Amino acid sequence: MSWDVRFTPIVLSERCETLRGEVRDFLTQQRKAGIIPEVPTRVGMDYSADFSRSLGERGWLGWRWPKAYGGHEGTALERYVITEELLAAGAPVRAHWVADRQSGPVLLTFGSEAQKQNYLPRVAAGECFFCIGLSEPDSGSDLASLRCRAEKIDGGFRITGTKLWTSNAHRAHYMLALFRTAPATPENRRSGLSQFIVDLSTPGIEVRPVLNLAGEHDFNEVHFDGVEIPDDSLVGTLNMGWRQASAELAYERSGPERWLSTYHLLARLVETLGPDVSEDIRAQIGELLVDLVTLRQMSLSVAGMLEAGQEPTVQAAVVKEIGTRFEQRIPRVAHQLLSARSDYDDQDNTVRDLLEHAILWSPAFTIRGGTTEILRGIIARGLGLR
Amino acid sequence: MTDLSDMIETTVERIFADHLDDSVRRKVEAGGWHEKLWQALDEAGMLDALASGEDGRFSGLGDACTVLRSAGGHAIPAPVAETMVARWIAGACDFDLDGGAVAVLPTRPDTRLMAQRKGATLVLGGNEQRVPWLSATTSAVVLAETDKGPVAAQVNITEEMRKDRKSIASEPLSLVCLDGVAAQQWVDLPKGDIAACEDAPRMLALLRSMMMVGAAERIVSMSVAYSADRQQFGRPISKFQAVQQNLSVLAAETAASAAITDAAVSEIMRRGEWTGLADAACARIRLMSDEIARITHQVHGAIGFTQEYALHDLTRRLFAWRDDYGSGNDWAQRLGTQALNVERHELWPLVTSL
Repeated sequence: MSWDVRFTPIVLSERCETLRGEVRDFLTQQRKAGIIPEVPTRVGMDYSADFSRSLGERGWLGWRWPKAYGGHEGTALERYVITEELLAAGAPVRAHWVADRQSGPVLLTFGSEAQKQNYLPRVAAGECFFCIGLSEPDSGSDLASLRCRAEKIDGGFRITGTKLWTSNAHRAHYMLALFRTAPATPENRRSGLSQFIVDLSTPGIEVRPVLNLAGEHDFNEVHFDGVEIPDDSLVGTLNMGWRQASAELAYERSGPERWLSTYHLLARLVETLGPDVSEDIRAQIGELLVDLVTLRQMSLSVAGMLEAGQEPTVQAAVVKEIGTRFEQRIPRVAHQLLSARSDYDDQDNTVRDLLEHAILWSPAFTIRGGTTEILRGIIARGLGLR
Repeated sequence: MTDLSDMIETTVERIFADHLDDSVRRKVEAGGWHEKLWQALDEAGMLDALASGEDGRFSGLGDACTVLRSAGGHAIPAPVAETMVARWIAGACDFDLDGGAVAVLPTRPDTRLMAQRKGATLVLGGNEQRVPWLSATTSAVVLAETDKGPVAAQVNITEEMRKDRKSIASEPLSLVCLDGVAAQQWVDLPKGDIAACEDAPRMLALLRSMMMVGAAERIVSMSVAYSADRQQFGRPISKFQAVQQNLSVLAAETAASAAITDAAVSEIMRRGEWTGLADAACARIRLMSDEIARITHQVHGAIGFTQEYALHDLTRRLFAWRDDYGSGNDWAQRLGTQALNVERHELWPLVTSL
């Protein structure tokens, strides 16, 4: 077979560049106001409900959604520009990120009219936050094996089981979850799964923290002990949840958050080294820039394909496979170049603080949102190998 | 892809099918030259692809890249990219060139050649240059600096000027010093579509990158096909996860290198000037060629390590081509230097402006 997974080049419109300028100006103001740190000492997205609301007020959430649901009917490339500017500036976008990126689009595609009316305008306003209820204690990459179940009862469903590694469940309003609603068939392990919106304030739900190795509370374990949710919690078609959740995952894989997680460390590294370095170091930094701009062009291209209504599953997997390894390479190079410096152990070395945080977070990059091994499997399928 | 570029691809593929097989490569590696292949490319206008663009100096770049991506996939043993660039410069400067292969100097993006005007004569100076395919030519197009600004020149190349060897792909490679050589023809720059001395080496580097992309894409196809065909332990080796994971990395890195190269070409044509994306493209495929060759050879096993099996025609050319017109490190350094010179909060604006 011939290899035809191409990334068509994208040219951003004037409108995109104008929008970039508006977002960038706003973010500069936010930095001057102290809402975005001048010198970041942590990687990843910080959480600020206030900041999310201010983005909603400016109309930068729900960008592609119909105006009838609080959206702005913009393009995928415009949304891409907004997200890359937010991430590159280190804006605290954690609160609304999942809802804006994937829960909202899933509801828009599969949700009922009432669900769209109810949730989407609030998400677009930056007032309603979601978390993702997929992984379980015995279901990580093998999502089809999940056991948390929703049984039909009069007027709704009763949920029993546990979701695990649920980022942000302790602060989100809702979980968009995948539950088993019928036994898997021998022919199709992926049958019998359904998607639900669960209001996390429902009685019987217990959210327990699982501290990560950086000592932070991001993960949670969410227990459902016979929790009763109404009929209108079902999203889309009963037992068709696998297909819906797969569509959801495609949104997760190609965005700039898959190669910008340690960008701030690169920025601070470059600033710390300055222009007065050896040719070797210039080449090392250059190699990182090469992959950064390559990934950016690929990510842009995927946004263009989404805009054109295509399903760039394999391209998205390629972006995340290379992007997350790139995210891990930045702290490796930074450690090599910074740890030998005489000021490395100084109390107030903020670059070192940022580097250490990046090192601690690094293992997560190639696991979350689809492990490297799973992504390579998707690429192999694209090559016709399975 | 446009209809025109489809047509070019069909034409050039047919020429390769008719005129380029293993015996041609072996003949060239033994020091020969394959005139039929060259004639066919020339008569079809392929060698003028870069020069034939009508609006702006980079307007032929897309067509040239279509030819060279295909040429790279066929491990072409001829200086097509070099001659394209020579004719591009010659066209803008009204030089007469014969139909043969022509070399272009300088051959590194960070190198300047010097020249002196002596009345109507231009005498070249300068340092030794590493020039692929020089021994297959009798002529070179040279961009140089003088104390009164840049010039373009055509010089005749003789055997005494060259120190020849063969590249790792067994293709001609020379060191040449033009110090004291008088130009046959020369003009002041900027003239026509050639803006500066940098245009030559960076265009050569970008075209070579596209050949490497073509070679890498062909390597992916060959590796996938071979893995599906080759049976071990009672099944095709493509069914083993370890092999699949290797092939996925090969395909991903190739697709990424192709993506930045395509983006660079598109952006240069749109802007009508060089862009930092092209620096990245030239760096990436050169830096990745090692990994691409490693994986494809691992997948192919012993057969890939033989002379009779065609894989080495591609992998040895990746090893040779990555050293042409600036190394991966040279090209990466250009971006690194830019990045290390920005003020705080200005790195991202640099990235989005490339």
